[in-house]
Amino acid sequence: MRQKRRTYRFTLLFLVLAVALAGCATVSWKVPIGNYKEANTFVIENTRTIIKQANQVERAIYIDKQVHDHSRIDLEDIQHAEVFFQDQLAARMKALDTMDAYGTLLLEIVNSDVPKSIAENSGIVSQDASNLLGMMAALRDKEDAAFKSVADPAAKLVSQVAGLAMDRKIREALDKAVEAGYEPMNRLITLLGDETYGAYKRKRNQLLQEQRYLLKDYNLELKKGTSLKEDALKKYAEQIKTELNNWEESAEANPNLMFGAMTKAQVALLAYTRSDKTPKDADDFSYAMSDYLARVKQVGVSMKNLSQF
Amino acid sequence: MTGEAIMTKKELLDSIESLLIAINILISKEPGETEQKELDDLAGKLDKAQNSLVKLMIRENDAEYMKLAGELGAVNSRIKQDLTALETLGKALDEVKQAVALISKIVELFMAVAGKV
Repeated sequence: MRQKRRTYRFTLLFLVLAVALAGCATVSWKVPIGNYKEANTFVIENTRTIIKQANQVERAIYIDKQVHDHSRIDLEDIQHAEVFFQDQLAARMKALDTMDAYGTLLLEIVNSDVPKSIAENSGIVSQDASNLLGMMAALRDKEDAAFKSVADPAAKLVSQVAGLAMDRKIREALDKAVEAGYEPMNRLITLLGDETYGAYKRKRNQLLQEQRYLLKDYNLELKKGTSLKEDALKKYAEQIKTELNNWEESAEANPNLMFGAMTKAQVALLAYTRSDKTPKDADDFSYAMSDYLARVKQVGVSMKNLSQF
Repeated sequence: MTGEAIMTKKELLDSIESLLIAINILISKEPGETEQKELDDLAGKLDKAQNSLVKLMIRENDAEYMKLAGELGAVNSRIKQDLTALETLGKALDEVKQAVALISKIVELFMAVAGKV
């Protein structure tokens, strides 16, 4: 339940920066901010899905190859093929949870005048950050150097902001988030974006492997000459068509499109906070947020489909 | 060093994918048994190289990668060539083999730096 609630409330630090600097969340802010929040929800959920599936994809590639080569399935080989150790996977899921909860808390700080509610949610966020720090401490030093160097500062920042909010030091919490929050959170997003891209490429490799095997089966059937079975040929042809359609659609599921749109939206938010906030500035900002949501939704649908291929 | 831009891990992943696509195109042309076996072998090597690279993206330190990638800038343009435009099966297969050899070498070097071989 907690997880579901968070999913719908994710936002990033820039949102707070923008709203805080603008003074308050007026009606004119509500639609673009709502769009921004919804778009971020898509980004985080799609990232979660693709990273979570990474090991499944590796197992499928390996097992399909063994079947194709008529070789035995060796469980140790499967373990070797998997890209995430279980503790690494858990740490990434926790990092996404923490980002999600942090965004929600910051949004609440800006929009709510109920300190009790803020304090309660701060406790949850603080716990998430502590858990993330604990998980990272247990990760293998050498093999997780990049992730730890990025996730550690982000978790510490979240912990500090949540701590201030728990003490009902709302102004200080916002100052901390604005002054120190952008860089560590953005670095974490970039790293997760790169890992997501790697997992996406492996999924595409799986599709290419399926294409390859089907093409070979089709050619093999063709070579049978007079004993060729028309039904078998047609069956392979239909499967090849499906695979080629899947391949084509997978191009639309490129996570770079999603993270690129996110970066662009952040730049638009920053530009707005630095602007004179004329009606044109507000219109530009509103358009940028609508565009962000539309783009992310489009990629999100393709990513969902890809995960089912 | 040749002044080539440093190839990022993401670009290397893209290059591997281009080669896998080229292999599928060649397989669709109904090659002979020997060529088919070679293509299977190359696809297997590329799969392993891509798997290793993704692991390195997840587990390795970027600073080490950038240092090594700078030294390997020279191979960038060769790997990026468009294999699908090649005319004959034999020539295309040779080009794929060369590119796979280069990619395998790069990944081996990365793995060596990471202390994994």
